[in-house]
Amino acid sequence: MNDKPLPRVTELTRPYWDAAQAGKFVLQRCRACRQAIYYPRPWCPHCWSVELEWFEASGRGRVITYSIVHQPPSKAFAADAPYVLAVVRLEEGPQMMGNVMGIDPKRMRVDMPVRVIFEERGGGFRVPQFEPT
Amino acid sequence: MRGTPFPGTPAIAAACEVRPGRYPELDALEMYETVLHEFLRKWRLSPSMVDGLLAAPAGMASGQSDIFIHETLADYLGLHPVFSETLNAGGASYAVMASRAAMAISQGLANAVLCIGAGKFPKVGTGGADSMARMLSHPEFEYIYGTFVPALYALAATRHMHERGTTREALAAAAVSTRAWALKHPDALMRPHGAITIKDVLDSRPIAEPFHLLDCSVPCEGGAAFLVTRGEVARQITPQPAYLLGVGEYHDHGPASQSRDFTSMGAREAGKQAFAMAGLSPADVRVAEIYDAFTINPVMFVEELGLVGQGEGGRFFLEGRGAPGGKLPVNTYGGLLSFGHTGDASGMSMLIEGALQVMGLAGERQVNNADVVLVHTYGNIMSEHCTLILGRNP
Repeated sequence: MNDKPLPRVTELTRPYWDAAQAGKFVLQRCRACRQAIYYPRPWCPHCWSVELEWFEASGRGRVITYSIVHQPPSKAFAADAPYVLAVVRLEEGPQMMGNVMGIDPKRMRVDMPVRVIFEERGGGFRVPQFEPT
Repeated sequence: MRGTPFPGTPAIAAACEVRPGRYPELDALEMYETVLHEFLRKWRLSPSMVDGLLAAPAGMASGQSDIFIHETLADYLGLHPVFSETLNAGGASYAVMASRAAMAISQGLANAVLCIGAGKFPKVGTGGADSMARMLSHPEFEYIYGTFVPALYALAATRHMHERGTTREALAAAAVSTRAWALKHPDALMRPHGAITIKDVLDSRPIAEPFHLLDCSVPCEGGAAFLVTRGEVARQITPQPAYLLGVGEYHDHGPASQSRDFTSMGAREAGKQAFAMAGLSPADVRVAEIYDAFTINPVMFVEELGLVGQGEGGRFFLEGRGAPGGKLPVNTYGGLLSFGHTGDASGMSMLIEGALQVMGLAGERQVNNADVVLVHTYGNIMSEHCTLILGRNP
């Protein structure tokens, strides 16, 4: 457990965070154009349909790019530094930010395959993160 | 989209930036007072000449933004504008102001538009890094992962190194080149620190890899103002105005993680529009003033603006082609990297320098034949871009 920030859970994002608490990684999908969507929105950014559904995603992806943060922006991240801030292309298409955990930052590479894991934060709240596969 | 040239040959007729530094005794409004006081001392203007006013919200970076600042300043200045608003596009605000002013003047909605910005950069060590990360990240889906402004820019650098073969040394070379220019600017913050080498940059402490301390701009406070008016009026104010030949604007991703192309971030589109409108090509550019919060910015944007080929930005700086004496001077005032990054007002610095180069008023750092100058700015994490082409001939 740590004192890193927790998200504000809203009606829109509750299915995403509830799934994470149950160890599941879900995404939205547009019922009209079938594209997967991340981060959660009330409409599809590809076709503006408002008919969206949640589905359990593979949790697999590849690192598009990353940075190794040496100087943490706040005390909450001090214990983690140096840590990896990455953008991952999920297998279903969307891009997602996260930390790649459980790796020596020196071993980070662009295109590295990763999978979703769950990090426990304050109060046992679980946040989707990544680890190398 | 491709615009046609502005009727009425709008031009920057007056430009002035205050010395960047720390002004702890001044609040956001007093920073504006300081900027306008210096502007009015330097340029002999009167309220009757100005009927437009655009201002950036005061106190943005410190989280106390005043979005009615345009009304406050109009009253301070004794102006009753027919065209006025508080406008924000982050670091692109001021190039966007120049563009909006030129549109208003071309349409006969205003005769002369005063554009103003002043800013403070919150201190990184006292919670500033966290508050800026919060402001510039998605609050639920980025901020919780420990976002940090240098790291968000580093996402572009890492990808550029991967795709285009840019090296750490090439990024450092951009800092070296920019520092060399700062030594020629009496107001540049880092001028007293002297020249730096690639080794100095690589040996400085790591912040967010690939960036080390000297890859990052220097936080400070400051501000600037400029006047846009019709060509014929501009020529009465100054012998050589900086004509606005082309503008281009492109708003790409919101949060950095949603960028569709980390090697461009949307700059290419803004540049293309500006050249098309001006009827000019990158080969016509004599000087480029490019927003440089971090060393990756000049490297990636000389490529994306077509000033060099893709993958050549690194070599461009390693060979000193943007440095004093180089073929295409870049960031002749010392850049945000060495002149100073004035927070909210940072997007002014490269625009003011571009105008001064065209006007022939750049002092020791004046580039010969600065007939066509490109100014590129962006806001947020390279989300929104505005490119200006300024020239000596309408």
